[in-house]
Amino acid sequence: MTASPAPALATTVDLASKRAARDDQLFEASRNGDSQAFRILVERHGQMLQRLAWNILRDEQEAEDVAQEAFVSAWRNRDAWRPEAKFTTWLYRIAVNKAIDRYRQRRPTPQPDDTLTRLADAAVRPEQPTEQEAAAERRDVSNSMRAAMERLPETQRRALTLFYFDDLDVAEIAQAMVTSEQSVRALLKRGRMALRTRLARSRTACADDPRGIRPTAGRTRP
Amino acid sequence: MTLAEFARLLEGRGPDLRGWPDGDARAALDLMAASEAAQDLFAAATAAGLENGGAGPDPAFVEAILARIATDE
Repeated sequence: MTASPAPALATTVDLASKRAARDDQLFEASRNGDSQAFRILVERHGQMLQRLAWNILRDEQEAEDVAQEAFVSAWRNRDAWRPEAKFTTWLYRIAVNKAIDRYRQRRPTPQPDDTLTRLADAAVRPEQPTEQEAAAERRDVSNSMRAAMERLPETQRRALTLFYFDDLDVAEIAQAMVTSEQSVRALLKRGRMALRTRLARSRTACADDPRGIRPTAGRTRP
Repeated sequence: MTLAEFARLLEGRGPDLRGWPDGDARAALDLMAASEAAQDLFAAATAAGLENGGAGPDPAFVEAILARIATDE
């Protein structure tokens, strides 16, 4: 005997039968307006979605929020699911993406690390300022650099962020961005050039400031 | 981080990224953001580590979701 088609399931079987139904049958029934079928899916997979999010977010309340959002998103985008795709694979991907988005939203703005500080050093004047002046100048340059990075094209900004803030090498960035190492090198090169240009403009704008940042002797990255 | 490295780390450390060094955890998130295959590996590792897979979520959690989708109707 073959299984009843999912639309019929929504209207002809009782709750016990629904609880025994497959995910794809239940979701198909949900798409046809059966909210009880969707309830069973939430009960069946709610714990897994919370655990997925919890493994990423390290916070129980946030994990629960993300799991809720994932179910709501699955509901809102129910027409995007195709029965040939495994329902849980589709649902788990929604949850993982939402957890990563949440993680990145709450992640603090990266602070200048040693690498960025060295870059900032490259832009301060070569003569010997006092330590206080040098620190103030580095802060100015770092702030300018962050502002400049925010205006870069997304791919350049991402490559630079992975390189400078996440300490990934070119091969790792290529993997993360699903592109070639050659493309990553080009993105880093263009990004650095754009940053240099913007920092130069920033220095010009600071010319009237008594702490205005002046160009230094050439410094190149290894 | 490659998919193979991610798989190896998941097997060795489990899917709770809290226990991973920060650099590895960030690289894993970047990989998952870009790769559905990495997301599927992560989900499989999470499912394997779930204790008491038959336990359902808090009823309040279920009701909250159903209330939200009801407002969409």
